[in-house]
Amino acid sequence: MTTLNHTPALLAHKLNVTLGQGTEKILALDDVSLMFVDGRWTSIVGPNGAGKSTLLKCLAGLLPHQGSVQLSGRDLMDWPNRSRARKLSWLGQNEPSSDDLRIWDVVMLGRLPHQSSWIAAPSDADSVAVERALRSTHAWEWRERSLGQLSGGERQRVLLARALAVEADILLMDEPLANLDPPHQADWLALIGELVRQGKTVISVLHEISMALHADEMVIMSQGRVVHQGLCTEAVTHRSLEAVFDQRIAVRAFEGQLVALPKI
Amino acid sequence: MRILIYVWSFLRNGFLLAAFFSPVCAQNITVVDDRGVSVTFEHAPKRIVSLLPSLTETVCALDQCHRLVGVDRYSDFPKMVQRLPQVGGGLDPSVEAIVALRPDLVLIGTSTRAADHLRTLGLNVVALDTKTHVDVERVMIKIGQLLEVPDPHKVWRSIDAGVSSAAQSLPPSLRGTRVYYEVDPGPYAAGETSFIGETLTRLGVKNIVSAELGAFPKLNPEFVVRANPDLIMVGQRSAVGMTQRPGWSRISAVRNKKICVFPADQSNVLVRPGPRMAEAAQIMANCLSTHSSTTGLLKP
Amino acid sequence: MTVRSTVLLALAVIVATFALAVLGLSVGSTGLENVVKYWLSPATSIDHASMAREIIWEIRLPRTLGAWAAGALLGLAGALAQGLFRNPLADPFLLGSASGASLGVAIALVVLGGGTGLLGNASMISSELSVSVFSSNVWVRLGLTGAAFIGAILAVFLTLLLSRGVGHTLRLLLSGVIVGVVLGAATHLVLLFSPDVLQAMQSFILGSTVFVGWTSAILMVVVWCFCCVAVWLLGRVLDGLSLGDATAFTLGLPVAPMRLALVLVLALATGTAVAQTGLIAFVGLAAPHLVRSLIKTTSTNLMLLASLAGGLLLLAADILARGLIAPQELPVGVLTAVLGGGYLLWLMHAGSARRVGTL
Repeated sequence: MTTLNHTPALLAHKLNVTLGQGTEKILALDDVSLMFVDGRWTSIVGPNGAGKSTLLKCLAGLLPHQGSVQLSGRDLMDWPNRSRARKLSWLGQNEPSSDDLRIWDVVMLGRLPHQSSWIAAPSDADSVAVERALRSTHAWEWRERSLGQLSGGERQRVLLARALAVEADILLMDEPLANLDPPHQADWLALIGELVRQGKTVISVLHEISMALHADEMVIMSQGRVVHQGLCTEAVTHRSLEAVFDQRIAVRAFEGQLVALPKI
Repeated sequence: MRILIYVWSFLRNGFLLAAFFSPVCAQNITVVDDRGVSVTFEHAPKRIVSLLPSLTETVCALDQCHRLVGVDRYSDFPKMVQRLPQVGGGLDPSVEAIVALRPDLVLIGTSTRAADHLRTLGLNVVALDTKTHVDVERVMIKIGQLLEVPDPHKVWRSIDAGVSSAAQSLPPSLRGTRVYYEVDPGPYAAGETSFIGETLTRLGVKNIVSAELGAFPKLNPEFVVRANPDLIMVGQRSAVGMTQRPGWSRISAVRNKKICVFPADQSNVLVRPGPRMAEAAQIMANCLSTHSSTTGLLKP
Repeated sequence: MTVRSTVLLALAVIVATFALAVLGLSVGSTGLENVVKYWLSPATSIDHASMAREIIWEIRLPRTLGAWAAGALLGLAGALAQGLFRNPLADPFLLGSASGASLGVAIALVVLGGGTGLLGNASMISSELSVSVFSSNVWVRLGLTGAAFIGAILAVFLTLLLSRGVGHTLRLLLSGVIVGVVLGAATHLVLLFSPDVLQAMQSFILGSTVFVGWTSAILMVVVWCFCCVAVWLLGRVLDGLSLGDATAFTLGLPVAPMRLALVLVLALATGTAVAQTGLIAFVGLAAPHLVRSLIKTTSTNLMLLASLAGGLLLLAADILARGLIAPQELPVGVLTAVLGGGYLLWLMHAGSARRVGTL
């Protein structure tokens, strides 16, 4: 059903990743090949330890792997650092942050790929981008506060703004909804929808299945392998999803949305 | 009949002999050491372990070197003690080694912490400290009495006379020379109340570090520059780079090259408060007379 | 708003530094004295005035400048360490880099000065053959600084190797303490084999600003300027690293080379300070915390301000060291512990009180 009129945004080919050392080695990714098309939101789901974060990190070039990852037709390793950084933005899970930095400065760090030197003052374009990013996550009022003064959910929104400020074509997000309460999760959904409409590609690892079902496409993983990749609206995707969670969830339509309910 | 007379003479002589010796064996020697601890000996100690160089030297000055069976690693005078087994240092003695030597007296300085440990092991420990000239005399007399040396006062008097003669050997023009003695590059100086300071006083020279600053004060080097000593005395290990210290080039002693650098073996004599104080005084006197003219020698 | 408070704090620290510097020129072996009169009016005897001027120029000025510069280097190193290792407890001491630097100095002295202790050659009387740790010879100071630099790098790398990266706070601190203790013991071992050097280094190891002359002071100021420039250029990288290695990489930052560069700057600052003034604790730890408790800002600003604060702190400690019991001196390390440690205690107390209040 996916029509290819140009090279895919991201292409993973026969990815194999082994983690751990000595006797504790595990095969985190087992021969994974995937294609991600431009202008779509794909969510990656699966049980714990399925390799979702590992896959995302490989796509971002953060983990050594066997096999290849291609970004817009070119091998990821061949991209110069800054060009790649402008094309691909990353938001990780449970990553450190400095309590002392001002929110404004944190988000401005997202403009690093666009800045030619580290000591130059930010350009107007940079300031505009930072403001836009902060406003889209409803964090603009806190721009003068320091990161340490915010709560978990507020901090997450700031880090998201940082990832948005890069204004990259592709956004990779690992558990972006951590600490966000339902209204802000809804805000996030709206934001992603807007980004996709602008032609951006979003790939997110989510463990909130109901939220993941709002995506265009879904990649379902289990034990290092891709079990299914398909549209979220298709029934076959729902059945595959239920199967990978041992039939302990049920995917249903409710008030125009798809939800995944735990079977009690 | 004759046999009876012989037996009687023999027994009488025996009793006389016993009577002669028994007061010595029956009489106990009690010593109160510098910590106020009282130690009693049945007879004069014959096997001595010394853990302080000045006490080692005191024992030998009293001509009782032969009683030493073990010393600490810093005792190096007289030469014969270097052949004795070493039992660690004053502050970190090897208790096993000491016990293995079966001493009947262990001489230590008052700062040794092992005293109680050694005492619980049944050893006789006498703690003595020599910080001043008066101490040296007192310790010498005490050890002399303990070891039953015939006339320890005589030994002391000859040492004291040696110091006086060193002082008298100096020409009157040298009296009042202003001296700075540095013991350590802290800089730590030897004040008037220190042992070295007392020797300097007896030689008739003036110490730039007066009594109220204590025995070994850590000085601001600026003080030395202001005091402008005529002569500087320093051990070789501390002497390196002294003349290049900021501001020191204007000190009279540095300008006139009146600096006595004592090599390590001489340093030991000067620094140890013990029976070699006459020798120490002589070394210092030599240093002073060598620099009496501005000939600028670096060695005493 | 924050930019303004940063500038204000910087100005306040600079003004305080100058005030203390004037005080530093006035405090000597006679305690506090009025030095202005020596410049304004000729004294009773010309000799008296000229001695006073020489003392100020030859002794107090280089010592005051040197104490400030050493503190500035240590403050910078502390802020850099805390940013690099993402840990507010990091400082040149806890990472073992200071111990590595002192080991470098000890080895250099033993090699340069000749181990008369080991060889037992008592006839080597001439003191010109050995090298003093307080020497004011330019080449000697450069040599000792270079050795300290290498020692500091070695120590930081050992720490990173043991802790396998900066991820785990506990492991990092533990590694740093281990490396620090082991290298410190190695230093003592080296010195035991060379009793001549041992004696000279006793007071040096405890931290000493006593014999800092023009050579040492100028060397430290030059290195400080270089480190400041490096920090200004690399500050943004440190900010990026504060978001984690993954994010920093995806932002296009060359993480490994930049981290190496920062480690080199850390080692240079630590090594230079230790080679001139020995091991002075608390400055590297307290100065960044002092700045952070007053303002929140970027890494660049933080490091530069912490540097200024460190200079102020050590300058104050040095003045107290020579002024409190003049003409005797207290070891400056004791005073930095009192000032810096006391301030940290107060910070902790104030911090917990505030937290209790908001509950």
